[in-house]
Order: sequence, then C-alpha cells, then structure tokens
Amino acid sequence: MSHEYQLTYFNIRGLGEPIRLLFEDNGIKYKEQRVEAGEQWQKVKEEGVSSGKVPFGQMPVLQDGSMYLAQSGAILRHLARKHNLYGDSEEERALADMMNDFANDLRTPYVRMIYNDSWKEMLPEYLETAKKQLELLEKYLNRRGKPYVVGDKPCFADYNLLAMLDCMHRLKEDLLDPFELVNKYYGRMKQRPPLAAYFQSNRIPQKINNVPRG
Amino acid sequence: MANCYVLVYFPVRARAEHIRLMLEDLMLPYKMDIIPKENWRAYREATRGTAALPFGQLPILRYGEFTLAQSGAIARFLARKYDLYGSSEKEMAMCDMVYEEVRDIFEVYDTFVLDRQRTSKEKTFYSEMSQRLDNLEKVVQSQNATYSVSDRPTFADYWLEEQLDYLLRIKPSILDGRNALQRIYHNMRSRPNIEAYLKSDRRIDKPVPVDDA
Repeated sequence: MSHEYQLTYFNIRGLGEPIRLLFEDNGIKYKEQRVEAGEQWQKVKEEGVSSGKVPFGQMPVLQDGSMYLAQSGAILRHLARKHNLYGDSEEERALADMMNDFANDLRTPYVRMIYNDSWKEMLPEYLETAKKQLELLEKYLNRRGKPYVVGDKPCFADYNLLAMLDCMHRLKEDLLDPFELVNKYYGRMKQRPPLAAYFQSNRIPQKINNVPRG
Repeated sequence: MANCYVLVYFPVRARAEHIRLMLEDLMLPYKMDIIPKENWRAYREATRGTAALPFGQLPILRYGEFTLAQSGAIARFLARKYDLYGSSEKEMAMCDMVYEEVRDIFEVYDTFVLDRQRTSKEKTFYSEMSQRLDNLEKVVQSQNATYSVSDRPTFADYWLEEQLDYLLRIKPSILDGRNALQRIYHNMRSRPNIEAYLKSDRRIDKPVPVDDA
C-alpha cells in the first residue's frame, strides 16, 4: 500500500532539514506542510496539542499513516529503521546514534548564537567553539576511516551532520577549510546526485533559521 | 576478558543515572568509573579527541575495546541489546519521542537549576515545565499502559523516572494532577531491582552539582 509521509515544519531548514535530506537522498516521496512562524504557528500548535497531531506542541512533526511523531531525533530514527539507514551492525547502529547526537551538539551553540539579537558580539566565541568541535570531528573521521560518518554508505546521522556543516559553511565560507577530512566529507555528501539536485531546486527552504541571518 | 560494562561519569546523576538504572534493572555486571570534579580537567586534557573521550564529554560506556559516547547512544545500545526498546515499529518510535522530550526537559532544568540567579527565573521555568509536563502527560496517558510506551519498561522510562525525580526534588507538587506520569514514576521505582538499588549505598544522591536541588 502506498502512502505518503507528511512533514510539518516552518518554512526554514532548521531542525526539519535533516529529515528533508534523508527523504531526498533516498527518493522517498513526502508531502510538506510549511507553517509560518507567528500567528499561523500558534493556531497549528493549539489545534495540534488538542488533537494529538502536534504531540509536544513543537515541530517538526512527521505523519506516518495514523501516527504523529514529534522530535526530530525520533523522526530520523523511525525513517532510518524503515528505510535501512541505521547501519548494518550493532557497532554501526551505536555509532549512528552517537554521531547524530554529536550533530545536535554542533547545533546547540549555533542556535544559541544566531537567535540572539547580540549575535555579532557572540560570533567570535561561537567560531572558537565551532573550531574545537570540528577538530574533534576530524579526529573521529580519521579514526573511523570510512567515507560516511559510520560506514560505507550514509545513515540517518549523515543527514543531520550535513545539515549542520552546511549551516556552518554558510556562516563562514572557510570555516571547514582547516579540517581536511571534514571538508572532503562535506563535499562528498553535498555532491551525492540527489542531494546536489535538491540543493539547486526550489524545494529547499531559502532561510535556515527563523531570524534573517545564518 | 571480563564481560563487564564500565560507565564513566561525574559523581552526580544528571545525564547518566538513567543508564545506571538500566544496568541495575537488567542485573548486568558493570563498574562505575567516577571522575571527581578536581580530576576532570586533567582527564579531559589527556584523552579528549581520542577513542577514550571522542568529544571531550561524559558519560562514556566501555565494553571490552568498544567505547561509546553520548548518553542517548549508550541508552539505545543497551535498549536494543536487552529488549528495552518496545515491541513494534510504533512503540520504538514512541520510545524515541518520549526519550528525546525528556532530554529537552533535562536541558531546561539543568540551565535553570545551575543558574545563580534562578529565583528571578522561576516563573518562566515553572510555566515552561508545566506546559511540557501537560503535553507529556497527554501522550503517555494515550498509551494507557503500565509504563510510558508499553506494559514493559523501555529505555525512555528510566530517563523519565529520573527527570521527574529531579523535578520533584525542587517542587514536590509538580506532578499533582498528572496521574499518568505519577503512576509511571512509581511503577518504575517499585520494580524490585530498582527499589533495591534506590535503597543501596551505590545510589548517587545529587542530580546536579549544586546544593539546593
């Protein structure tokens, strides 16, 4: 039986983008409900909490048949289990979880900075934090010695990581340059034909965040 | 080679105690490697960026030559191995959903409780907690089960029990009217191995390294 996933999120990349990248790279059909921040979101949130369609009053939400799933980490893992994107061994599955959560750790200081009105003053310290994180990623990639973050093909964590590296690259074009393996990995992911096409398409949200920067 | 898990963390509960509860409930052989505050800097400097401490953070789980970082990865590794991840595709998704929401709640709690000016932020904090707990209550209520996802515990339940305990310590009335959450909290704590552990001297008391939480 064919069915379509529906992703509900803001019309930004943000936390929704890893999910979109997963769909796009694997040719999975999906619909979207893109919600404008402000009044429209308040309405969707109120109705959604009541009906169970926005379980924690937050987005992204994935509708899969009669199931409404909140939390981007839950959504990514659910899709990964269904579409064989969770690694091929006990070790790979554990590393997929680890690297997905590492990608979330890249996101935390970025979001804290970019949503702050004093973001320009916070930027130098953020860039220092980002460099330290990228250094650790470089060392991990070196130890792991695989083309993708866990193995020989992408897993769900790769889409989360790509989304974050892309944010960081957009913020400062040469931020990834000192990190050879990170830079190669970023290029490898972004140049996968379905993703290269997606990045060029009009499907990808132009805005990364719900603020006019980043 | 001894088949024993080693869990490395600070002398607090915070992000790792729920993993310890899983190990205790499963009666798995394990050792704690507790890093006191005064030793952390040296430990981190020596191992950060190596396999032993890939991201400069704890907790870490060691099993033979295998090292795993990130509490969510450790919890899920054990959950998959020892059948604490639910019994269906839908239950697995619910486990992840509840677990991640509890983690979000922890981050808000952690920021608040470590803030030296937290008294001035109480209103905002409890307002946000109230909303989040209401939403969580609704979701677990709809599962209508012994635990948050099913009639058997899942890794999400260990985190949920701990986080609710952290909140109850600073506001004993916080679960009033939230009957499903209360029920799950008590069901977890009365599991025989957990009950025994909670009474033991292995149990760490402090959720976070402050005196008033």
